[in-house]
Amino acid sequence: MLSKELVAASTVPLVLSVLAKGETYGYELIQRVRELSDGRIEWTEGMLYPVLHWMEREGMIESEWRKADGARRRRYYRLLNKGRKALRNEQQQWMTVHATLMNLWKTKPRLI
Amino acid sequence: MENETAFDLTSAIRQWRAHLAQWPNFESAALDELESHLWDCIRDLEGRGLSQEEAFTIAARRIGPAPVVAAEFAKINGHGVWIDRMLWFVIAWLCVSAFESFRSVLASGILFLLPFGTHVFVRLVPLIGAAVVLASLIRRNGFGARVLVNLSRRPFMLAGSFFLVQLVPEVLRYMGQLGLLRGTAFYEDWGLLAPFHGSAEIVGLALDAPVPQLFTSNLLSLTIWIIGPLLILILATRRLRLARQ
Repeated sequence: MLSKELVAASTVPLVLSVLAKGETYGYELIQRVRELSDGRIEWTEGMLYPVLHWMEREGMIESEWRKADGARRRRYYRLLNKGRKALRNEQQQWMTVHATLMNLWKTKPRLI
Repeated sequence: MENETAFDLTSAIRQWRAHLAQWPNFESAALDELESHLWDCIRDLEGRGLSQEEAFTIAARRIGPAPVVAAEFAKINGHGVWIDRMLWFVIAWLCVSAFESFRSVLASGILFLLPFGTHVFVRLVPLIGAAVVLASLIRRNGFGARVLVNLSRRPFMLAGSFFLVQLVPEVLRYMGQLGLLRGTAFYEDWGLLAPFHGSAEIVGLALDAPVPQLFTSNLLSLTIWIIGPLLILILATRRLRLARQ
């Protein structure tokens, strides 16, 4: 399980990365993240929506209500150019942390 | 109803939604979205063989406790309430200005309409300007709305810019009175600042008083003019929010 801080920090890059593969709605987005992390990333699902709305307000993504099966509606989210830029930025930062940790841990594997 | 059980899913969901709606941080669109999520989750769990009641309980738990989710929404919507209030304030203010401009066009413009000089067009400028700004504010993603939303992220900047907009014509006029600016009467002739001028008259700004009185009485009437509508708007939005639930 991830710590609360790490969950908070990784939500935006995860959302951006999932949306980079194509538009989707909140529930499906959470399912994707759960599958891809083998169930190790568990969100309090309601918390995703404020993040999505904030990202929309920042112009990273846009949303649209669409008819789902029957009378129900779903709100679909799509990545915008600003979001793509933000994703590249996030990728660089996470890769920096990742590469540094890997370098450190490679040299002293027995300490883990 | 497909399966007749003691558990009524529709009413359970309605209750769940009403429970969330107690927190003022949820807009109705956000509630719609959470409800849509709940439905997806319930259908999913039912597909895996859970009963309706079990599916509902688990789905609601996954979404999270209402106060926690509400707190997250509050973080991003805290300004939202103020954006709403300020938006209505600005719209009201622009309406007054546009009306005043219109009135001044009627009052003086029409007299010159028969000779039909450029004068009339120049007087129409603030009216057209106000109409454009209004239209752009009312459209949800219009330019005006976006500027306002960006400004209201920093409440001080918003307050400051309003103050400046109110202040500029008064300063011009004041400088004209002191004779610091030769020919400042231009804006009165052109009617370019007629909206501001008009709103100043409506609020009862004392424009012809001597210097110290000018400052104090204007400050007083500006304060009343700003606080009054704000209070009304705060009360009105509370009302609206209650009515929506």
